[in-house]
Amino acid sequence: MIQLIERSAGYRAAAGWIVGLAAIGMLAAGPWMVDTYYLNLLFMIGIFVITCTGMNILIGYCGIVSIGHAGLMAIGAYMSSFLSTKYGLSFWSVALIGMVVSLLIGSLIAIPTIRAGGVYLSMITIAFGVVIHEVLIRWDAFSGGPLGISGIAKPQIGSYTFDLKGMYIFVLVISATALLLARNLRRSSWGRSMIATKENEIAAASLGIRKFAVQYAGFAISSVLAGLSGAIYAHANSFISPDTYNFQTSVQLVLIVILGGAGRVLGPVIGAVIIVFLPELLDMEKLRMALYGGIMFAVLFFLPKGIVGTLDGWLSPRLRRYASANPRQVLSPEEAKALFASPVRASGQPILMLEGIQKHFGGLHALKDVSLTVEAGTIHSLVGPNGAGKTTLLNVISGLYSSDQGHYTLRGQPLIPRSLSAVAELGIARTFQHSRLFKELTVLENVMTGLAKRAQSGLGASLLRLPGQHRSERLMVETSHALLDLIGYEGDRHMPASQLPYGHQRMVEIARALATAPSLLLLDEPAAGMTALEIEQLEQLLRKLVGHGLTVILIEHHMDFVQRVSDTVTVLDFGKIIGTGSPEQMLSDPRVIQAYLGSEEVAASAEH
Amino acid sequence: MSLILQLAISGLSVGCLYALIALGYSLTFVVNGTLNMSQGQLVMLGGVLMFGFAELGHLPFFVSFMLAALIVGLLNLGIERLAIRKFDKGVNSIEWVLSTIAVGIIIQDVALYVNGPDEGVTPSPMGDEMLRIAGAGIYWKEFVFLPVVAVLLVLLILFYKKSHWGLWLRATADNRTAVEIMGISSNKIVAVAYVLSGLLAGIGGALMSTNYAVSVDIGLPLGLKAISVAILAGVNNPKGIVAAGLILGISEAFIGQYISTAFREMFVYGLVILVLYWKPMGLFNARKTIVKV
Repeated sequence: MIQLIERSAGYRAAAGWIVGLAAIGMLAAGPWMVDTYYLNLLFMIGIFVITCTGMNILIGYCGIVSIGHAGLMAIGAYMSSFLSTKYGLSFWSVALIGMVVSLLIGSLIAIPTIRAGGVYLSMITIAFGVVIHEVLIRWDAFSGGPLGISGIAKPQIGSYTFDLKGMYIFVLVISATALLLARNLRRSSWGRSMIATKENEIAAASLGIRKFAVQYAGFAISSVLAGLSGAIYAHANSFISPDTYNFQTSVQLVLIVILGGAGRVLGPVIGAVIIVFLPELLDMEKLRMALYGGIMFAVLFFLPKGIVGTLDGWLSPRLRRYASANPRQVLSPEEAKALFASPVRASGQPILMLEGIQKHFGGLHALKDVSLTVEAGTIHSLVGPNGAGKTTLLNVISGLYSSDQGHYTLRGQPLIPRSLSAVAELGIARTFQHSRLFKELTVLENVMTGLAKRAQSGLGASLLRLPGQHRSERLMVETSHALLDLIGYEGDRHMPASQLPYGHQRMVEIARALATAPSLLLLDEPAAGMTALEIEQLEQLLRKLVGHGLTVILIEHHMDFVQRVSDTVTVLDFGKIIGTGSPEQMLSDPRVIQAYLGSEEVAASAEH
Repeated sequence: MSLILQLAISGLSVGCLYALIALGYSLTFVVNGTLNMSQGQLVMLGGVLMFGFAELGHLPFFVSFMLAALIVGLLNLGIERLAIRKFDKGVNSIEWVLSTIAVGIIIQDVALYVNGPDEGVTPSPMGDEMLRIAGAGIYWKEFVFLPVVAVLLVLLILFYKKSHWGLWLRATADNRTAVEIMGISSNKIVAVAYVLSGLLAGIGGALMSTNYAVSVDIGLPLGLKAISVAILAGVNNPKGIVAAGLILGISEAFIGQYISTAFREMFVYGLVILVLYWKPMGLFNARKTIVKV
């Protein structure tokens, strides 16, 4: 069965390649089929596809809307044109310089704005585009002012000078390559980390993914591609002027991406075809921008996933029906052990020690002098009424909040929880009170995202999908399947996480946290919303994990469950620890009952 | 000396307009974390309408002024309904950024289609008299921005402190869920914030048209300058925005005089980038948001 599925997936991949190559082959025949006018349009589509593939990575994968990429195209175009007209350098070297300068200036903008994030980023990129346009108009010596630069030499190889046909083929090859790189990226750890960060920054950070690194990578790729397409356009057209690179162009680029479908590899192709041909069809001079604005609005309203995304959403459930079984196997003990990274074997030793933790939120004293020792290889439960500070304590340990005071030691070493991602790298993984799965990714990909830090791969290797990268991807798929087997997940693993039932979401979240190979696992109300059967599964899982040497800190309200699984129970109330001990001892302690049920109940139960 | 004074007053006058426009971003951002990226185009619309009503329609000055402000305010109500409400899906959503940009493009292009590229200055009721302070000469019509904006700010503060709408706006800014639990529709409050923000844009544009030439292209640069003010101050800090607006106005006046008018804009944006390197949440921003998980 497994072989059969793998073979059918193999056939489909082969079919994809054949269709893709056939399409490129047909397009390559273009120059001999259509006249110069249409060839020019096809060339422009290619230019847009190159730029927008980069922007697709930025908008669709990273969730960053830049409305200044026309400025980066301009940098590539002007840098290369200036150098080739002034110093007679060849196209190949100036195009490279154009890409590098575009990357440098793009980085200058990206570094502060990614940190500020969100709407700031969009605003700054608009301003950036406007400034570049202004500079081009005013800096005569470099840009030729409003008249621009003309007489830019065509690229040459040996004695062959690229004419329009040659440039068209060149652009076709580059845009096909760009699309292939975007596809490779989407199927790598980098791509998954980008989408994870876009969907849920906090959950991604808890897996050790650093937001800045992945978002900057996206911005860098898009800057390089924008610079490249700018250089190619300038040298094919022989003439550039500032008006090619204004605010309107930047908006057009964004429109291409979202019309085609942000995050869909083929989105920019569909978007570019429509945006290039539409004005030809409508033949309108005035209100063209209003039309673009109207289309943008309509897309957001009626096709939020864009054309390709909507088609895919309709098609893929119908296609998947034929290939949805999962390779399921029973894990041998060795295989199961291999999933965990060198566990701390010495049970009974303290793995985590907290001393005098204090946390204030304004006037609220959320944690009051909390000291706690967690023994390795045990399940340590935190219980207490709502608002007792359990989740706050978990957030402090996992680095989401910084405490106002207190000392931490992890495995005897002082621990300074600086950020979620830094703590994750130290081998502390966590889940969240409310499910924080990456909804756009499949179940399997969610777990694979957790592996990103364990099997780090270079950005270049991911883009090119080098053989080593291929192998490590396969390994990640296998490991993720094994983890899903371990937690006993039996549903469809290629289903988007958004479609999972709640109980399954909780389990997959635990598998994802386990993928980081933690030695300490923090679970925030994992049984909430689970059926009795699922709770039983969870109980078995927790025992298995402890058997593999993991330590678990558990927040839970199901008291019978806590009583069954815990080795130690700590009770919190109003931010203070009111007791630590064995479950039997703690859960019958009158102070604990009072904290949960109020004093009258205690009086009543004391009478019995 | 008199030149310096003159530049300072002139800078303050334009700075208080920047502050007024930038406050429009802040009013809505604190309520639901969104803002109208087409604020600049709304200011432009206010100015163009003002000129149209007063100069081409020959309506009395104050009638034109009221009409321009009200139309823009109501337009922003529509924008909130169509371009914000459906797309405001939490902290990381980008749809509302795109939808309001689309609105801005449409407003600008339709305005260009209807109005044409011409620019015009609405004659101010203050006339063309000069005000002389210690040797410095400044037009009354420019100077008058300062008291007018001051009065507007006082009215805004009173609205926030004294009216129940103001109370609800402040409460929603603090905790939207809690307000909804009290049975107050937070959609309605967001809509009020957008109307206020639109009124500020309309008033800003109408005021601007009495001293500066307004045309349909001023929207985008103005919007960007106002957002620069908001970023410098921290977009959820109204007091900081007023300060940053005034500082920006003054620095622009001096840079224009002593360095170059051509590089005025670049200076502003360069400054914003530098501030973001140094303090990503703005210069005057003290409030830290707590993420709940």
